[in-house]
Amino acid sequence: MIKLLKYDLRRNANLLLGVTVVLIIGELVLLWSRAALEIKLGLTVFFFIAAAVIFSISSLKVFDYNIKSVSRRLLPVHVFSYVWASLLYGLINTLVLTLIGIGTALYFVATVDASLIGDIFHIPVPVMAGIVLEYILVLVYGYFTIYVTIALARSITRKGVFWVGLVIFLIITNVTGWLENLIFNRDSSQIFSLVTFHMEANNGVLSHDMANSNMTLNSIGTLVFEVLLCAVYLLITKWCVEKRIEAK
Amino acid sequence: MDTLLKVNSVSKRYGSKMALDNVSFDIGPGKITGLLGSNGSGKSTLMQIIAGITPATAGEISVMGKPIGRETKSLISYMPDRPLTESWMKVKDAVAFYKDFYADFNVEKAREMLDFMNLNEKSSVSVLSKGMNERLQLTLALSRNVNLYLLDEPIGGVDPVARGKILDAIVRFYSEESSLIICTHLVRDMERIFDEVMFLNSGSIVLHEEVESIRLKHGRSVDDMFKEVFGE
Repeated sequence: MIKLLKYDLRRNANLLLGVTVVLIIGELVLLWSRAALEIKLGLTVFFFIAAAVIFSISSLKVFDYNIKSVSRRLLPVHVFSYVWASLLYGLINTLVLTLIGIGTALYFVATVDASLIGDIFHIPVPVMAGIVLEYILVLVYGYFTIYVTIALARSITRKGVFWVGLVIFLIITNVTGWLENLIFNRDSSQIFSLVTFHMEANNGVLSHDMANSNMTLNSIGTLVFEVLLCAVYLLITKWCVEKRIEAK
Repeated sequence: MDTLLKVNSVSKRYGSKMALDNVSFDIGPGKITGLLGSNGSGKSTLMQIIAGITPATAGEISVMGKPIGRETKSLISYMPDRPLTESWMKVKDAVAFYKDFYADFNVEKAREMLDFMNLNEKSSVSVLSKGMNERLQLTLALSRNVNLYLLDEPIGGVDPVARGKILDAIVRFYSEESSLIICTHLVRDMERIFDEVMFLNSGSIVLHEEVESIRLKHGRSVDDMFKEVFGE
């Protein structure tokens, strides 16, 4: 798996390093510029969305390449290695983006209200751990959903894979969202369920609550449900790669 | 073990087209077998199924008694009809890639072959000509110590000089305890190295015979026989 990851990173090194360097330089230029805060914020959001889109597409292409290219499929590795290597690749990309994002966010928070920085460092450790854990779980669940979508689309058709994949993705997300709502009575569009925090800007004044742990039976049940779905997606992906997808 | 590769009633269907129709044969150890057929006869599909990268619609394949799967990928070295290397690689990266993933990869043999093939380790894969790329792919495939080598069109689209060099390399670097299946439609160039040949026509094996037997029984070369079977 690590060897696969090594070659995936080397294959995409120019793209990843290029985007990272451009993002960092862009952010530094913005932070040091004398532009209005609103413009800085707007451009920052634009840069991060652009980088996130490029990184996400790259991560998904890595998985697609691993399951369909002859050079990867010939390797004597377990099918799960393709998934784990692609997942780690995606998580590393996200980590880089998150770290740059945290640095930038801290700058903006300090600019608006320096006391907020102190609050961030006073968030209880279990709550912080909850945020990190849930962030990782959301990412893993998201990647697994798209991996199974790609595997199913490549199993079903040889042409128009993108459109078939889009339909499959919409079906999967809607069905699982409906099930989550039915079983756990939870809004599936809500990303964080274990931890809540609230921030509001009113007439240029920022008000905020401390982050709170919000562990209910339903929120934990949702997480368990999504972990189970990940296992199911993994098995479906394995079956598709072994029995259906042709390398080319 | 008498049978190295056993292909039993293998079929492959693409929509309404039958690419392989109930194909069965055995290959013993120490043989160079030519899998011959015209374009679109199903040769590459059969090689891909044996290599484990394309699932068959029906039938079974085993290598040394093991069904096709992760384990048999360590027993087979496959050279497909398109490069396995990636454009960012230099020749030395391609060698390192094989060394990283295949425990049976012999780096010394690879270096010797690269030297024989006039390939520079520092060359970038993306600037290699088709002929040089074929030489590199062959080097990588034959530098593994495995029981079965599958070469898909190793001289397809290369000039006569490169063809000669590639054939010389196959004969020189192939280990005699292993078996080799070479798929090609360039019969005249390659027949000198075959022990036996299989003719694949429209997805079915129409002939599987020793080269010597063809010459003795039919009094003609494999190339003449091929033209007779596939002539339109």
